[in-house]
Amino acid sequence: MTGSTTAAVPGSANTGALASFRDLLAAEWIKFWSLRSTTWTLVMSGVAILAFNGYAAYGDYANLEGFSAAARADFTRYAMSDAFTPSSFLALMLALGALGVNVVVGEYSTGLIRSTFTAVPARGAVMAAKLVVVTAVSSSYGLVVIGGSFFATQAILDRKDVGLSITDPGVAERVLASVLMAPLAPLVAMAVGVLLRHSIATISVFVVAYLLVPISLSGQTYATAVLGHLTPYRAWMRIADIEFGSQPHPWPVSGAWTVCAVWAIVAVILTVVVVKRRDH
Amino acid sequence: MIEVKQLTKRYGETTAVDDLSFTVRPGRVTGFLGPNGAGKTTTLSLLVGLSRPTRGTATIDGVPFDTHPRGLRYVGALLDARDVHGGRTGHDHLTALARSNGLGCNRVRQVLEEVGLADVAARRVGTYSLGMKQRLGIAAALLGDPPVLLFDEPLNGLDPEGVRWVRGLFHRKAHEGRTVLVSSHLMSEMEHTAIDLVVVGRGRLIAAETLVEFAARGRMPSVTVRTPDPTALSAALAEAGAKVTTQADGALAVQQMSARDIGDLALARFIPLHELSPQVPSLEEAFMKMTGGSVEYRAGRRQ
Ligand SMILES: Nc1ncnc2c1ncn2[C@@H]1O[C@H](COP(=O)(O)OP(=O)(O)OP(=O)(O)O)[C@@H](O)[C@H]1O
Ligand SMILES: [Mg+2]
Repeated sequence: MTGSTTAAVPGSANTGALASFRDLLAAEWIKFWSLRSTTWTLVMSGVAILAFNGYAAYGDYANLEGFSAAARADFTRYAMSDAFTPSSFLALMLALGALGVNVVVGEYSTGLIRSTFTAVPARGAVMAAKLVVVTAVSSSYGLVVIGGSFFATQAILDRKDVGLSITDPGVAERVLASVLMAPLAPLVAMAVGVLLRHSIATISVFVVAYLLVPISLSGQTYATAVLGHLTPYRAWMRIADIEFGSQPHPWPVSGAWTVCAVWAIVAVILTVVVVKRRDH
Repeated sequence: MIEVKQLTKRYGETTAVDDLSFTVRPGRVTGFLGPNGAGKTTTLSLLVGLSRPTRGTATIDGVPFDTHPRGLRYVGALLDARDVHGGRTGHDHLTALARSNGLGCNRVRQVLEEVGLADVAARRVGTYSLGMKQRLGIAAALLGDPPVLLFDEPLNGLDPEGVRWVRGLFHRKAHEGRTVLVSSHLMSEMEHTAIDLVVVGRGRLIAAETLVEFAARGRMPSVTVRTPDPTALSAALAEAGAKVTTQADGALAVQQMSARDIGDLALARFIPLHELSPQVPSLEEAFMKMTGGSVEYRAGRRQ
């Protein structure tokens, strides 16, 4: 080859693996933010979640006198539930799940994935970079939106002295579980996206597996209770301790953490491995 | 240098590429030619590691392309101009690709200038015409200033001005010593583009030779001759060993004898000539003749 090409290759030999992975992160970061829908989705869902929870907290604050004595004694559970209501879980899951789907299926459905993998034949590294970017963004989002929601709702409740403090025993762990629901949803969505590569199919499977199944599984019979325990939604409710009604088949918080961890790990492995062994 | 050896790719029952072997040399534009469904796109995606061969090997400069963790500095490929996300601007698309390979923003600016998209780089790709997307794909292929360039049907959607520009670009890149492989299903597109040809049909190699050699297969070179006395000339030519056929308009088509010899012969016999024109063999004809038996989707044929 002529000298001109060699000259245009600046020190490719001594670029470390870490430096070149940082390049992939930067590329995925650009791709992530250069779609208009990204910012839009994050802002809208963040506002919606804060509004849902603020509204729930305000309702409990206004009706506090209507609570039974037993309920008042166990108010921590209501306060936690106001901090992150199941309907805001739904909003979070849909918004961040959609972002996760977008990052993966947006490349497959447009054919961009072929341009990407021709530029970067190390496919696993591409997917790893996507995972890191999505996890970083969604974790920050979780800290701001879910963390913010906790402080805002408890401030409302505290006007009647029933708000929780993050330093109260056990509260930090419960808030942490809520915050971590933010990165978990898009990780799972990305894995489903890599497997299905089609947006409608991916969103459907994700919503069914992540939300409809756990909601519809009854906790009353042993088999459905155990199946329910295998889902992140139920695990989150268990750790945040916001399961209302009788729970005939109790399970430990550590089990709930394990379930979340396994979902995250399996999602990451699937996302990185599946792309390596496939024609594009 | 591209080396394809006994390459086979099957999709279930379909054999897209069948025991294909050829070499593409640097320093000249090579046309990769075949009718629809011949396996051109499949071969190119095997070359860049997007799919895995069922058998055989495809190497670029001695190694399979996917042994490089980052590819843009080794091979620039445009497989399908639509392989972009319509929601991003052309500039963002190229910047992300460049960044993934550790290339700077000035490379993005340079290639945008080179393909003439600088003015629309801030627009979303979804608003680009097919021709503009082709240019964007070419820009992406040029980003890493690679020694090997692969283009799948790059002339699709380009206007005559664009076609001329692309041909010029291919020639320039080849002249700089690069390997340039350009696929097409139209012989006419190759006529002013390629020096070498790799012709495939139904996944099999039909020819790998220079365009000039390939063209010569189409039809024996012939010379069209007009004269007021065709009978005398025909007899004289036949006597001298040429093959003469009379055409509908009265002209003679002479094969196996050069225009010069025909002219000399006519002068020697005092037969006046009104026209003496060598016919350049038609590439299109050669292509049809060579691939006729291997057309995958012939019009009117039942599948
Ligand atoms: N992913 C796939 N699954 C099944 N069959 C495939 C796949 N990709 C290609 N084929 C088949 O392989 C054959 C070769 O296709 P290919 O796209 O390589 O042809 P081509 O020469 O590029 O044609 P064209 O000029 O139309 O672009 C065709 O019969 C096609 O149907
Ligand atoms: Mg093709």
